[in-house]
Amino acid sequence: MLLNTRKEGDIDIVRVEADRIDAAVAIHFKDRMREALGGATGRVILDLEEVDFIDSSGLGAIVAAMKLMPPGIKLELAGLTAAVDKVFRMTRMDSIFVIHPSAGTALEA
Amino acid sequence: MIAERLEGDVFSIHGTVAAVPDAVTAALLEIRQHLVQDGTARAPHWEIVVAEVLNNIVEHAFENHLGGEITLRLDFRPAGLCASFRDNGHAMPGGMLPPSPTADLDVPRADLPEGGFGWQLIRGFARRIDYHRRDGCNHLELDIPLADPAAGMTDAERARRQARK
Repeated sequence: MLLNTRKEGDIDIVRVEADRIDAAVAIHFKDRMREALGGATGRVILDLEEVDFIDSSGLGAIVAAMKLMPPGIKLELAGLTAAVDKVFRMTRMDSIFVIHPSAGTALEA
Repeated sequence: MIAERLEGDVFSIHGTVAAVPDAVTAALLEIRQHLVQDGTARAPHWEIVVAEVLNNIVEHAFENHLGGEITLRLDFRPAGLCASFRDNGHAMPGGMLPPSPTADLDVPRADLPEGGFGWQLIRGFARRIDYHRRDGCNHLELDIPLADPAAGMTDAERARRQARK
């Protein structure tokens, strides 16, 4: 699974370049997120625009990633597609993340 | 897996899946492909429910390593999906569907749950869930309403979808 990380000013944007985060790749995703968030000191936006499917394992891996963030800084999510958005809402996990329509709007926030 | 149109506006997909995570992903992609070929737009959450059921069977009935096979049948109708699953792995504990208590999210970050979402999702999207153990097999049947394909879409996605037309 490819995570593409870029910096816009002080903000790290991590783009998931895969269409699924599911049970088959969740552990791999968690490892890659650990690498990507290793040096994070400020805002981090996880861009999920390409992801059109996530299951409970993938959701768990994103919650695990949130726990790697520096204290007091939330992991922000952007570009949730319908199926992904539904999973966050049904489990009420939408309430623990800052969620933006897209990475672009997240940068303006 | 076999896909066929049946009488009464039913699009039926049935077959077997090996009880390992990669095979579950492959099966879901194959089902998607059949649905694309069938051409009817469906609300996307059918896949979450089917995935969670298959993941649970792999993880619990077959403990991730016992090997085994899951037989599934998905009957897509205009109003929803009737999905049935059979496997010869371990029975559900107590012979019943597991509880899925609502997790407390008002906790320090380190204590947030990283699991237990599977049944929450299945229960949330399915209208009817029926489980029984018969002849050494688990039988699980669910009804999942899928009436409006656009119902769950975000505004951004509706716009993207519109732009593609």
